[in-house]
Amino acid sequence: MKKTKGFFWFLLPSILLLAFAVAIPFFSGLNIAFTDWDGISKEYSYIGLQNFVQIFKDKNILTSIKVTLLFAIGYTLLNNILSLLIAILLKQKFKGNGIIKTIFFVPMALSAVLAAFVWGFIDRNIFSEFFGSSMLGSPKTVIMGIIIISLWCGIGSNIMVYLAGLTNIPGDYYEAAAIDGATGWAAFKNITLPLLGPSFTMCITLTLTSALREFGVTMSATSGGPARSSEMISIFIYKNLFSYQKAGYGQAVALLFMIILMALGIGLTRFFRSKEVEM
Amino acid sequence: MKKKIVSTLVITALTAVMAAGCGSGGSDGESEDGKTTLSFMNHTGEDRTITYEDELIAAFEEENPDIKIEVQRMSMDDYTQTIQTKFASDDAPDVFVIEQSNLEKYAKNGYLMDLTDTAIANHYDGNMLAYDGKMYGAPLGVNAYVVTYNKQIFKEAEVEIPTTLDEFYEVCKKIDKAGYTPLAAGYQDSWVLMADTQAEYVTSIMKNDLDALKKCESRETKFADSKEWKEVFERFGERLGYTQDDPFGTDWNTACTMLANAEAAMVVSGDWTANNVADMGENVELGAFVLPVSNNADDTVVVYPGAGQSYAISANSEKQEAAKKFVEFLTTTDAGDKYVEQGIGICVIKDVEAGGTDAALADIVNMINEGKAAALPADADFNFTEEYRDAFQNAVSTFVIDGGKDVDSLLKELDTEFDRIAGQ
Repeated sequence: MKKTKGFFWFLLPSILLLAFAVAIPFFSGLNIAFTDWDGISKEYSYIGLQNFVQIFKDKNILTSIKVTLLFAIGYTLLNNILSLLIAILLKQKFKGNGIIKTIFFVPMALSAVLAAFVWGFIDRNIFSEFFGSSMLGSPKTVIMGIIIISLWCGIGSNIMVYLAGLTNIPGDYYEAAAIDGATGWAAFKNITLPLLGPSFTMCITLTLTSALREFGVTMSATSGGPARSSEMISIFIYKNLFSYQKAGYGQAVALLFMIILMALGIGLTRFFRSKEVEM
Repeated sequence: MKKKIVSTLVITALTAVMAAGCGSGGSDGESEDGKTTLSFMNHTGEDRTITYEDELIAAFEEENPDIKIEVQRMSMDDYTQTIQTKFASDDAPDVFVIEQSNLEKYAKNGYLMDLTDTAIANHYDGNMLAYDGKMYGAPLGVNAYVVTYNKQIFKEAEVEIPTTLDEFYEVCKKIDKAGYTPLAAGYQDSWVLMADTQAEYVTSIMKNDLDALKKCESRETKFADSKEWKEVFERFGERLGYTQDDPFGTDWNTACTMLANAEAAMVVSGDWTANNVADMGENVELGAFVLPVSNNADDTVVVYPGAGQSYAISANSEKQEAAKKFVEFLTTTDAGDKYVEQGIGICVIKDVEAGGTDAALADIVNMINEGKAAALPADADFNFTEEYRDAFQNAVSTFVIDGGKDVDSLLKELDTEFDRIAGQ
């Protein structure tokens, strides 16, 4: 115990960074949710819970909720299925394995803006040639388009987690199972899936909560368009905060949204943890 | 062990980079060598205008070796939000550009420096952006909504510039027959759709009623009851039939490239189109005309406000003397002459010669000189305010996506949304 005490000092930089970049701005902006601030004037007045009441009367937010859920669920499913499949493939030993791992991971180093720019170009010039119309330009396909961009730049981290999870499963289990005649799908279902529990907890929770907060790719690819068909909640908040001069309302939505996200994150983690098995 | 040392080194290096990144943000006041650094923020996107601006800045810095200009450019779609965030966080740039639509909001809150009694005001004959009798913005040019067309295609399809609505549709049909796309639209950038509809409603509605947009916002005008608005969207819908497929999958630059490469014949937007297209292809020959809004040729006139995008100085800037010097430099007759000469736009600075090298702009200037024009006061604002603007844009987008036929639903949707925002 004595020995580990010194390690606290190594945490200090990140705690300070967190305080300055996240905690302090967060708490100093909290009160805005209870005001009628327009985002630009120097004065504002407190109006109690009016902003929160307004949220439940606002029909426009329903579109955003629908769009966000569609994206988040679609993205989480596709991301986890694909990354698990890719991880299983990458677990096999073959030539060029390392390079392929890197290829999957590289887009993570690119910013959302750059990814949206590159894919916007592909969408306009290549997709539209093949399918007759671009994905991002039509309300029916725009969410799928954003999912594809997000998958391209975000799948790397989940692959890594699943790959680590797979590596951690001792080979003895498979040998024992093989002796009992369980290989292939049976082995996967009865050994791999249950033992990957911790990886699922982490990947699904993190992917889902980050997908619900999706902002960067969508903002730079479509700014919520065409005709609000990709206006995620975060973009709804942003527009109220910065362009509609309803900073108070925007902040109220943001606050409520954050509470829901936290509850969801904690709930999901609990649920998955309860399903995990000991190795 | 070796690995550990390497990773420690890497972490130290990264931390050092981070610390350096945090430390170098100090752009306040004077820099080390005694120079005053002015931050200058705008949303210039056209190559030609950027070159023009950079040349002026270089000339200014040469003349004033103690002042350094730091330019920050961003897209029009992000600009307003960014600058408002900067105001709110007390981080406003020293010099920036403003439009009429934001003037009142900014001036009322005390973010703009009063330029009335400065030498800058002497550069104008009443074309400046003013609020409550005080000058806050120093404009260079005015913007006019026009159709920019590719002369080669017009020649090949054997069509003349249309002056009535029927002639316009006739031109579209002939161009279509000749194998070209009549109209290119880049609605993926949201302002493009707005500019496109503005080309309709500015010439038809705002020419006669300056407060038309404000009346819609105050709900004095209901869209569904207005014959004029109905006609605006009927014309707009009809025009969509001649536009390339997938307008929301096409961005502004792609639309401009289509015009430059002679794939499409026309772009409905403003005088800035020519400026943007001219440098995209080789030997592009462009011209401009006003989008006809009726079958009476006398209605087809250039409608433009007395002042366009303008330079403003932050009221909270600690470097106002230097900023004044800079804006004064940007708005001299010489700067205006260059502006026209290089074909950037129509200039409103006193004593600037009209003319210039750009054929499309010359077309517009000719129309103004021939009296086929209506100049609106400098405070004319062609935009809805932000939330209304977004609602308008979304409703029109839905209309476009649904094929541009159902004008009645569009009008109803507009009324519902405007009612909601107005709190009714």
